[in-house]
Amino acid sequence: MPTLAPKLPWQHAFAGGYPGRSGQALPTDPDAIDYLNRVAAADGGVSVEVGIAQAIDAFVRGCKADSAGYAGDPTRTNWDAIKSACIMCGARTLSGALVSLRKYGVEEFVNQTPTINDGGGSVGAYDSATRTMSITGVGAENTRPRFDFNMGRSLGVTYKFEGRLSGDLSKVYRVLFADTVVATGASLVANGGVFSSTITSNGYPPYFYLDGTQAPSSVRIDSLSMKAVINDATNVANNFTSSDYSRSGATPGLKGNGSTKYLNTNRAGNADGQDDYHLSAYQTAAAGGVAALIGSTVTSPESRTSLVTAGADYYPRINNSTGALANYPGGNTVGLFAASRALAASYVARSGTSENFPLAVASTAHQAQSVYVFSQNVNGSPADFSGSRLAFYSIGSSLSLSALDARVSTLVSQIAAAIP
Amino acid sequence: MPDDLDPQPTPPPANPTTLAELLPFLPVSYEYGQQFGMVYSQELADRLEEVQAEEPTQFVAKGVALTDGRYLLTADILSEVPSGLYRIGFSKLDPSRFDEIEIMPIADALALLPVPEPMPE
Repeated sequence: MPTLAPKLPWQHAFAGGYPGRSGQALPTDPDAIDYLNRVAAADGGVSVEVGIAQAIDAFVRGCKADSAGYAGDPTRTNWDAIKSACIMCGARTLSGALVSLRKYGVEEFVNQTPTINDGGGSVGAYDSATRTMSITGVGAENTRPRFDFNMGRSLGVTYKFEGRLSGDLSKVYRVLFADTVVATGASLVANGGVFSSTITSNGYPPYFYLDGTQAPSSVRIDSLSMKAVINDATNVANNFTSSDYSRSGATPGLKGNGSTKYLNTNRAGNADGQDDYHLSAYQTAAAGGVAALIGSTVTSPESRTSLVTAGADYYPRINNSTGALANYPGGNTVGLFAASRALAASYVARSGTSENFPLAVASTAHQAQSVYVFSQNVNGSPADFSGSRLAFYSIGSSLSLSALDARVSTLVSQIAAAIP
Repeated sequence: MPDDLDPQPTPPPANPTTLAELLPFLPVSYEYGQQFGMVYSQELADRLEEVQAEEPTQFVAKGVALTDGRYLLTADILSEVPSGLYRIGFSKLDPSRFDEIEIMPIADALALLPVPEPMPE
């Protein structure tokens, strides 16, 4: 007997099943749930159906299981490499479709040992096993010892910095990040040791100051987190409308018009590494003419990062120092268009033909201007508008294109099938 | 009252020339709006950007520069005002200046767009 269960909102009381009836799996990955909750908020408070939520949960889990294949960091997964991304299908409304897949970047607190700055005779110590900062020797300064954790140092990047401390909270002089006071001993006592802030980095790490005049004392880090904030995509183009968006069915995605509509990802072109970078866009319906799916181009000094189709031809570029590039096939196909650079001298690209092809063009530094989707940002203005329909895009570090292709293709087909 | 006696809404004009003419018909249908482009001056483009910056939202109307120095918005955006995705910016506009925004067939408007950068052979 057919069941409507997969079409229930996944947060519905009976979404997991009814008493006496077989159940169905609900999302359990914390990052998938975070994304689904933010989509529901943007969609007016109604969560997506169980079938769509399951597809997104499987996608996130899969990306976390896929190695990025990056020699500079063998532990990196494709999920780690995806920084700014949108699933432009599944959500109930266009507002929901423009919610960033990831609100935050990777966790930068990985139990690193702090550098201890003593002063005025104080003697600080750190126990990595219990993550405890302590003062074993009395000093003359209330601003030492200072414990410096090497994280949150990308200049200009906004970070969510939060945690919980316990122990001698009143003997914390202050917690500082980017020269901004995040907490004091008094505020920690008042808030049960909890602190939280969102601050743009000036390059300096977080500092934990203990009052050296009040030794012996110790403060334990119960939890600590430092994550870069990823901005939501912002439709700054004139007039994407609700009618441009199809959440499911045969050709899900958001459709450009080839002349005026584009998305501003709010992701700076230089936010990721010059030789550690990827772009992707999943096309569910192709457009004619010269059409940039995603990109940012500066013409002087020349630096090109874009995925451009021109009929059956395809021109992928990642921080290229020149526009000269042979055309590659698959421009008018349906599927994932992507390119990833892990080397200064060459990179790898992929089109809907599902074949990786290597390209030997040297890289150059990119500018801070934002990456656009459905066009490319050329010297600050949109150009080469695309009339294609896109169901996904991503920007970030170098990753495995074939693994990303497999995951995104499955995601889009499952969402398309979930609500025919 | 039988359906056939219900008053029928007046359709928007087939060949509007300014946005002011469409004001009584907003929101227009997406399909109707797709037939037209809205073309306006640099001064109005600056003003549009200014009023939208007063209350930032995710949905912003921003025209594309044309070769004659004016700006183009496709008129399907009129399906999202006065109460749709672009309501916030639209509510801040001065309707008395809508007669300065020219409505033209979309093909004529697209002909004024810059030619895309040629691809290498």
